Amino acid sequence: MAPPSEFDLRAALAEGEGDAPNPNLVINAARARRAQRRSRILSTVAVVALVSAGAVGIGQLGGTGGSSGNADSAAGVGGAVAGKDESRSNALDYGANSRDAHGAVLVPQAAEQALAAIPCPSFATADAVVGGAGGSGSRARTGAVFSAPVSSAVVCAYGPTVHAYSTTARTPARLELVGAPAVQLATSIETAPTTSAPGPCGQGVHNRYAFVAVGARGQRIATVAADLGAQCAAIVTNGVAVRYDWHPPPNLARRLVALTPMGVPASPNASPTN
Amino acid sequence: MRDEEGFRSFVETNGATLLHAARLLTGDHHRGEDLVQTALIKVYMKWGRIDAPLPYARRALVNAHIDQTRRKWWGERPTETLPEPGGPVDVADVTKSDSRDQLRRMLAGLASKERAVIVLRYYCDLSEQETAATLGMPVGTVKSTCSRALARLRVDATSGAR
Repeated sequence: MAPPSEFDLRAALAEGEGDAPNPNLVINAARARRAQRRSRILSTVAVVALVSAGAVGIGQLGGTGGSSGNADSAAGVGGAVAGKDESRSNALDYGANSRDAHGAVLVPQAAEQALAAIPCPSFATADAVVGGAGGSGSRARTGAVFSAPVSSAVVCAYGPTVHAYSTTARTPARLELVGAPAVQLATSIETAPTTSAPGPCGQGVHNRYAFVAVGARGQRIATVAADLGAQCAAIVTNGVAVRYDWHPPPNLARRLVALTPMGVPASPNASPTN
Repeated sequence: MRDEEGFRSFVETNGATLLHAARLLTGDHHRGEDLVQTALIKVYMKWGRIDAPLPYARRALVNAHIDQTRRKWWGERPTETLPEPGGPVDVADVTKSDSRDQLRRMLAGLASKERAVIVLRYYCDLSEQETAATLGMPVGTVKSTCSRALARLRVDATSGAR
């Protein structure tokens, strides 16, 4: 075969041109494809909406029904309830302190239920929190102790850090703080020095405490452990960020002293005297 | 509301050309029909939003064709026996129609982009600039691709490879 000329090529390409396709078939196929695409989008949207609604529903159940269901058992696990904060029944207190960073208003009952459902961590857990302090570098050490605004807290007292009694046999004493006292506790810890200095806080016998901070929506923010001496704490940490020489607010310090865990004899030397 | 009458008249006017171009691109009657339907559906979806439907349809056609050739199932399949070699063709015996048929078969042996350039340039009668715009490639690439494709067709025709 001779090399094709341009004319040959054009003729070869043009040969056999048939009829035009049926436009109605094309239109029907396009409609079907569009309907299929729409139904796919709709089903995707429906699935997303369903999953979102389910997540919201589960979240709401967890915030209300779930916590009330666990309240009794949590009180048993958490140990002896030494006292409840007076401001819990004070509606004004809630109004002043029950807004989170986004301005959402707390429901007082929900906050109380959420708090009651939180058990005290074990002594070993609190020990692990103290043990892990500052392990992630200097920036982490000086970072925020509480990642979100605190609106309530569970205080757990374990007694002396060094004691002849088995730490596993101790049942921590428990105190629940709602509103202003919890905010003061968090603020005082957050503003405590980030560097250690020699002084009275590091001397003497220290009592171990754990603070389980709770946010405005009832969510746990952090578990913070503190070794509190006669006047002040040698160390307060959430396991990463560390504060030293923490002085608890005066009204709270008295209540912390009064917390005596079961299984540990009260000792004047072992307790803060403030 | 779509201008369905406008689309219908567009298909009636240009459908045959597009269908034939699709057949030339694919080298297969049925695959050509599928290809032109795919391209026309895309045109219908955008109808009313496109200013120049014919260039859009050509571009959709070529893109759909290149898209299809990229897929695995259009690739080569290994076989146990080799196809029989074409052997030299007796030029004296072939009729004019046969030579045209042979030329179209040789076209199917080109790469998909080379084939697209040849079809757009010599069947759709597009200029190099229009071909470049349709294929989304520089004019220089169109020229070189076209030259390479023609050279290969000449070589194949001379050696009777198909």
